[in-house]
Amino acid sequence: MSSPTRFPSGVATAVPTASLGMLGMPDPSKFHVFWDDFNSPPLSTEYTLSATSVGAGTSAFSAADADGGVARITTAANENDGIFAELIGEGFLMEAGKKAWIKCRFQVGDAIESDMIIGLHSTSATPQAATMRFLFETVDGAAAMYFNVDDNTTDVDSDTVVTLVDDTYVTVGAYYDGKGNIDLFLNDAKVTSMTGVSVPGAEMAVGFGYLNGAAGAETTDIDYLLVAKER
Amino acid sequence: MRYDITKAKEGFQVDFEDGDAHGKLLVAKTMKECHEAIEKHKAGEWKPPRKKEPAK
Repeated sequence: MSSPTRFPSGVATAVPTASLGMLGMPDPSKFHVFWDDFNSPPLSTEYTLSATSVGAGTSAFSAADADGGVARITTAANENDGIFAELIGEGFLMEAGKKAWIKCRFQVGDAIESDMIIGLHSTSATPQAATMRFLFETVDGAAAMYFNVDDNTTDVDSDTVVTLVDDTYVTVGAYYDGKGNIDLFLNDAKVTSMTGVSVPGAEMAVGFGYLNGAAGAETTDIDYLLVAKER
Repeated sequence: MRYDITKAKEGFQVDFEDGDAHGKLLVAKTMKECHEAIEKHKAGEWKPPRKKEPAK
């Protein structure tokens, strides 16, 4: 890595006359940001954790011994065993004129025999069936992951963003332009878009989780998750 | 808050853990009943099912 370019006085994004005009860093109040590098696993003090453990074992999150901080989902051994985490508060509202982003790096234990969601949804005991959704999803029986937007009237999926492979990390990203268009990215390269999308009209919570699609315990790792939106 | 659905003798059981508070919501025959109980508990509307009077 070459030497950094230095700005000893800082770098500002606020106009000089604003309250943060002399702040030598980008104005953090411009964006509402959820960021978790998962140095510790999702905790029940911040999230509602909904686990199903009908087969042998217990579905749970743990902190994996892995570089980068990893939230590890270990499932119990029956089909449809697994765990979902959703932030206790519904803190993100998709709005016209406000850009938003989702980015996540993860790997799944079983690419085909699994259900997984990552993104935003209305809180629910069954997050896959949440009333409103703005998230990446893969469903049991296929390795394809797509982006799904459900505003409780129209439920629309994107084309495939990534064909998942067992135990292989991918990075998926979504950029909402505030005008009904969503660009979707795999490993930081744009792969497809959605246009004319009607976004959910109520607040949603950050949520993610994984269910077995077949018998047998599985392990799925989430390296990080970013959700951000313009204020 | 953490909810755990596990196998019970007849059907499924829902346990919850909220800080130091632990408890059981219900034993249900279907997963759907478990999910409904969780939704009600999250909304603060959970009431344990009324126990049947023993036959006299």
